[in-house]
Amino acid sequence: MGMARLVLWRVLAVVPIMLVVSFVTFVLLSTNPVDPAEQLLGPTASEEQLEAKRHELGLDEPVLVRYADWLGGAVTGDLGQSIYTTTPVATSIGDRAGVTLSLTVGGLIVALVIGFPAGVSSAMRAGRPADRLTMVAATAGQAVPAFWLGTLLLLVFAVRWSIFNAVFYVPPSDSVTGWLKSIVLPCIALGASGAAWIARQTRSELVTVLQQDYIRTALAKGASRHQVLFGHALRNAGGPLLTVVALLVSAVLSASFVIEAVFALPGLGSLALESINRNDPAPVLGFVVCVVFVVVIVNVLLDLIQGWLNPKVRAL
Amino acid sequence: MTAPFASPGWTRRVLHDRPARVAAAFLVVLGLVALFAPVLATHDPQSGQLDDALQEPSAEHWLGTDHLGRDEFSRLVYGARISLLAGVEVLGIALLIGIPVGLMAGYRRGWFDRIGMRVVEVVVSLPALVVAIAVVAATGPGLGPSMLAIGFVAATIMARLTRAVVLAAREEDYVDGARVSGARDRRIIVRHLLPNVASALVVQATLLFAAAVLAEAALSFLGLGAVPPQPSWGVMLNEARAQFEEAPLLAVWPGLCIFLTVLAFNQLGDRTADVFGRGGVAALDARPIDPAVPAADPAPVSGSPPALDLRRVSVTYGASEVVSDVSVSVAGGEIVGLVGESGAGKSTTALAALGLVPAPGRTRAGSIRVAGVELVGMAPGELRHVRGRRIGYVAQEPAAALNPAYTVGHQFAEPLRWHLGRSRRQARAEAGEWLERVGIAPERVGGYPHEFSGGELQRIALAMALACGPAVLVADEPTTALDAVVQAQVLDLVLDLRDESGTAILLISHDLGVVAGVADRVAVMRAGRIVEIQETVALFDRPQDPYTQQLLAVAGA
Amino acid sequence: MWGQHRRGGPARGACLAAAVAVTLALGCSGDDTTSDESPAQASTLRIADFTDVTTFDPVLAQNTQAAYLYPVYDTLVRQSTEHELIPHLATAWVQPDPTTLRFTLRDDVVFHDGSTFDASVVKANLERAKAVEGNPNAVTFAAISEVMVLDPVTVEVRFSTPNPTFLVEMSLVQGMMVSRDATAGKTDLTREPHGSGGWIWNQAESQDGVRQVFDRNPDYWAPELQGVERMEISVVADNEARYNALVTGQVDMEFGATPADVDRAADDDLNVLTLDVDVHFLLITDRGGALAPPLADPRVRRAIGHAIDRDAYVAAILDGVGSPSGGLVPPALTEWYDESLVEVPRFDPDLARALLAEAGYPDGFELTMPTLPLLQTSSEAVAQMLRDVGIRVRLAALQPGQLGPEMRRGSFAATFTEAVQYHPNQLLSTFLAGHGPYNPFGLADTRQIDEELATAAGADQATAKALYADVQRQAIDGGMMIPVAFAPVVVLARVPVDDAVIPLGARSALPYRVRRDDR
Repeated sequence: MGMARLVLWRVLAVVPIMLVVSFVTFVLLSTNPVDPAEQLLGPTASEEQLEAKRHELGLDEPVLVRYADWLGGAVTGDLGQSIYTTTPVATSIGDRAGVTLSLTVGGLIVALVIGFPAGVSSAMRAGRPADRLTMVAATAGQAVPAFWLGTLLLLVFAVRWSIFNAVFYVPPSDSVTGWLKSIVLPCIALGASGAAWIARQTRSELVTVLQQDYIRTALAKGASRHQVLFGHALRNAGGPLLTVVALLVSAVLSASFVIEAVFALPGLGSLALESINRNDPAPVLGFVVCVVFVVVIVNVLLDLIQGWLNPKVRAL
Repeated sequence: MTAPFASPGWTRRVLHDRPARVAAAFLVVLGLVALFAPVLATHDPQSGQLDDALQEPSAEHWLGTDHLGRDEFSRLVYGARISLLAGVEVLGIALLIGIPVGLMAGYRRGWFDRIGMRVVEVVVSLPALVVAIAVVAATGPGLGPSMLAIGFVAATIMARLTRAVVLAAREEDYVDGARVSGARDRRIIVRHLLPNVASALVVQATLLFAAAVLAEAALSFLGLGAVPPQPSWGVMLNEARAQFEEAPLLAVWPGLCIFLTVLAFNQLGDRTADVFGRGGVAALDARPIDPAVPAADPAPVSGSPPALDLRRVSVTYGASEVVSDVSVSVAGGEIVGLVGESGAGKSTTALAALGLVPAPGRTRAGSIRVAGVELVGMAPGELRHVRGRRIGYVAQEPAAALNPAYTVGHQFAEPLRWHLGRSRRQARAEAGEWLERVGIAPERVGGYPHEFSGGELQRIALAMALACGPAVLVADEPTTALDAVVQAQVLDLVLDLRDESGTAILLISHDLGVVAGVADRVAVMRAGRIVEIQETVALFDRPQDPYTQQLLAVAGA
Repeated sequence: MWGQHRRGGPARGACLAAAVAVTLALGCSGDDTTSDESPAQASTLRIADFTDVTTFDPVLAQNTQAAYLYPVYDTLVRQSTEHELIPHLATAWVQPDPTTLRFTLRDDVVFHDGSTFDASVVKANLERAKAVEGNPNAVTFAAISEVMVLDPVTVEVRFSTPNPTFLVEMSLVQGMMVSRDATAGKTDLTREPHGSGGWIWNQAESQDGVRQVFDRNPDYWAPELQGVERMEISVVADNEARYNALVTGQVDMEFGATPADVDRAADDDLNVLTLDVDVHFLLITDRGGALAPPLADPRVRRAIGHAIDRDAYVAAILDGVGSPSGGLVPPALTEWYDESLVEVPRFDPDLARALLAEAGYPDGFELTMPTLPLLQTSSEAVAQMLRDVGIRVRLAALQPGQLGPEMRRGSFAATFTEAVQYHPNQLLSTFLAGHGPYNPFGLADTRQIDEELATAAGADQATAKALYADVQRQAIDGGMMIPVAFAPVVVLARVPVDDAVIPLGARSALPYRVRRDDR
């Protein structure tokens, strides 16, 4: 295939993906039976007033036209506005993106820093008690809902012992200590089940790699454990593990929306939930589109790295 | 991905595994509880007296009551129903949509595959919660719609897995055979592919089920999933948060149920996956070679000691002994052939000589000497200095023997740097020289394994095994995977290299013809034991053991 | 050529050590989250509210969002700690006849934008409120026939029919005065307030959807009401998170606590302010039996009333905080609360079952009622009580914002709901009025109620009180509105709340006189 072609295809593919996702979501949201006009004008409005409001909001146009309008705005950065607060959706998302970013990156770091070494050392000792113990712990760790762990951590480390914040987000620009205080607990809650999953996946991939013939060859050549692990196994497991990391990003991002509720962090998740509760479609649409866009881009990047790692692809 | 195909009877093997048994039993019980909820529950899960709110466990209410006076135990029992239903819904959609799509894409390929897989890739990467949020924003909260959304994402995971398995299965001989014999596509799919796909999917299904139960809990927590008064575990967990100070146990029960259910599913999936994987791991976690009991006979003195001396080598896998009391020696410059049927233990003997018998195999020997160095009792960390330096190894599949991610030159240089202390540049130059010696253009030293033919790779592997000038070379079926012409080339090379360097060679083969042409002596193995060792000519002329006679007869020597 | 290496064993130890170090460092930085503040900021009142501000325009705002508006806007009148109406922007008022109200105004009030306050401003505001589309409190202004400016400090409001709730509504968002420049210039007040209140909105430090910040108005006409230099109101939707914020000291006050929080608040050394104004009741609109035939029989509806165990409800759902009193007017409305209604209706499940049997439903019947996430627990409790006498209730989950419209459309026969009541006429007329929005089935059985309400509107206090009591009896006996309990609006705080007021009609405390003493 070649690296250049891979890059081109992957990057180009983003456009139709975003189009489809945004269109499907748009249509989906427009099937909501609640009438925004009635929400805004209240019970005393007459039918003419409601009609007028619907016309003002552009709700009487067919779905395709409305979508086209939205799309036209979206490509220039205008994602519409909230029906109630008239705040531009792009502004809301921009304000809150930092929170979600902190949470997601922090959760990823926790998951990788704990899970990856655990998975590697488990794979190296496959079948032995240490491996079994680690895997049982990992399986158990994956079975604990993140929001539950978050609540427990909060009760112990924020309420009982006031080491960390129970609520609110402090941007790092305001205070680094404050920022840490506000995201360490949520990131641990997020990262814990991610770590468990990464440990299992890493072990599984690595065990597969370690069963390959070329590992035996390396050993027969006189490689030490270290040399086999770092010089061969990890390199070959790297590709499949990138796929795993891509899925992890998705999973941590999802879980961050739930964690936000527990710690009252004003991220994208709470934007979506509040908007759902208010029947405010524009922020929900903006949320879906932005999150999906980021995930798609991350996946494309990881795909490209994977391609680069594979000599058959890299050799143009 | 682990080998997707399980031999028949894999269900039995899974159930032999104790953790899997426990997990399966738990899930069966859970299923029964959910099924017979109306019978098992002591109270109506949705009715209660407000006066009885937040009571402690009692004879009347086994687990106490919740904030509305409803019986906690009964709610948990009905909760099992809902949480399991959520999993069933997700799994059902995943199987109903995912498998046919994957089957079609993997078998038919073409435009369906291309477009389908693009869609699948995108949906798989979508955060499941985002999909659920979008759906719920349109339909309003409820268990049905949210699980539908998650089921859709799960379907893509299933589709991708199915396709991968089908792609691998298509290449198998039995599919070709079926096609040749005129079987129609659908028949091939249903009768041949589906059963094999099933085993891989069982693993994935258990994991998906677990994920669905967790997803339901998370969505209910956010108020997007099951809606009260439905007593799903997720709803109960959420309701219990407000009661945490007064009645902390209320939060423990549903949490525990979720935890145990997810754990059971994950364990079952894990164990099943382990059963499918190839047994054992390469001896990364190596054990030293244990001394045999009783102690070996003293070495017979007869001139210079042999380069490779195996005395009373045994290899056991659990209860079965795969190699029993094998003794064979190879003198410097000598080629000893080791023959026998497949499964006789030849390859294992070869690996034993290197101390590379994979776990859980255990090697025991009276003595294993390589160039006079005793390997029995040597620590694994020291063994590696012997491997590659004093004893080299070449295996059957040349393409698999080299790491596809590194250049040939890099891999060749490794032993040169580790054992001989060459610098990177020196090693690379030397590698180039070696390539030339085995008939490959030295500029190709920067090429990747996939750029070479099978024969070329085997020659490279041979050269690499000999690069550090070992006293012994163990060649396990080095020519079996090659075609006749290339075979001859490689064998000639082996002879040349032996002539140049005086290496002792242990040549394993099931092909008597190959051995006859090259070996000085031949050892015949059967069922883990050596039944006869003789000079080659003598063996072929006057085989003494009846088994050897049979072998020769069959081979038409 | 060489692969990328990920760190294994030795690095893991380093990371662990780092994590421990960070945790220790954070722990040692003190658990007092206020230690980072400078002395100037020490007088900041941090509040956690359960909802976000959707608009800064009083004419479009609901009283549930008033917390964000009280700091920046002044109302015409104000409620005291005893919930009496006292002067604020208006210094005095008289009612020469039932359909006229005359206010005397202050002359020293200046808006934040520099414009002055006078009678013409009041007129502009009232007329605007009446004219604008989408005013959730439109009913307050509907009866205004004319607003006259008699002189710069006197304004007279004329109604077409007597409007007894108008005065108290002038202490809520309805009474908030927007600056003349803003009303004249038709400024969009959704994102920006233009008031005269004790605090000025700090746009730079406010963050949409997260926190609104207000700084003390140095030129305020009533400096004795300003207890703090600065107010920060943050949105925390989750009840647990909001309580945690207060307990850990990250906020000083929270609005929207539940009755269940009152108990643990005492244990956690917090100050509690409650006001029993939230009416929890059952509304039965389908009295003609169009959707649910059994409801046509008045005995069935009475049975429903007797099935409600208000004491148990208060004990279990409201955690003992609240009032199980009967009637539809909460005890907090001391002028209007009628003791004789305490046991109306009486909890008597046997009587309920007997009535049902008599009406021909010895085995009960099925009934579908809508519910919202916010009302979940209460609805379930009520459904449970009804099930106990044989009425099998199925709860249909609706999305927020759908309950009102669905009931007004006539999609359901009955519902459980909550509403804050600050004057007897308010809820009774909204939900019972024959021509009102909650009579989708076009029933004519409220004629007498309508007449009595109209009479009470123009009558003196004693007569009105008796009339309202009678209306309540009719409503309850007729099975139109059935009381379940009176729940408190709860405000919790770390600061003293002795001088704080939860005005009747709001769910938050007024910002006046709340001080933040350093601990």
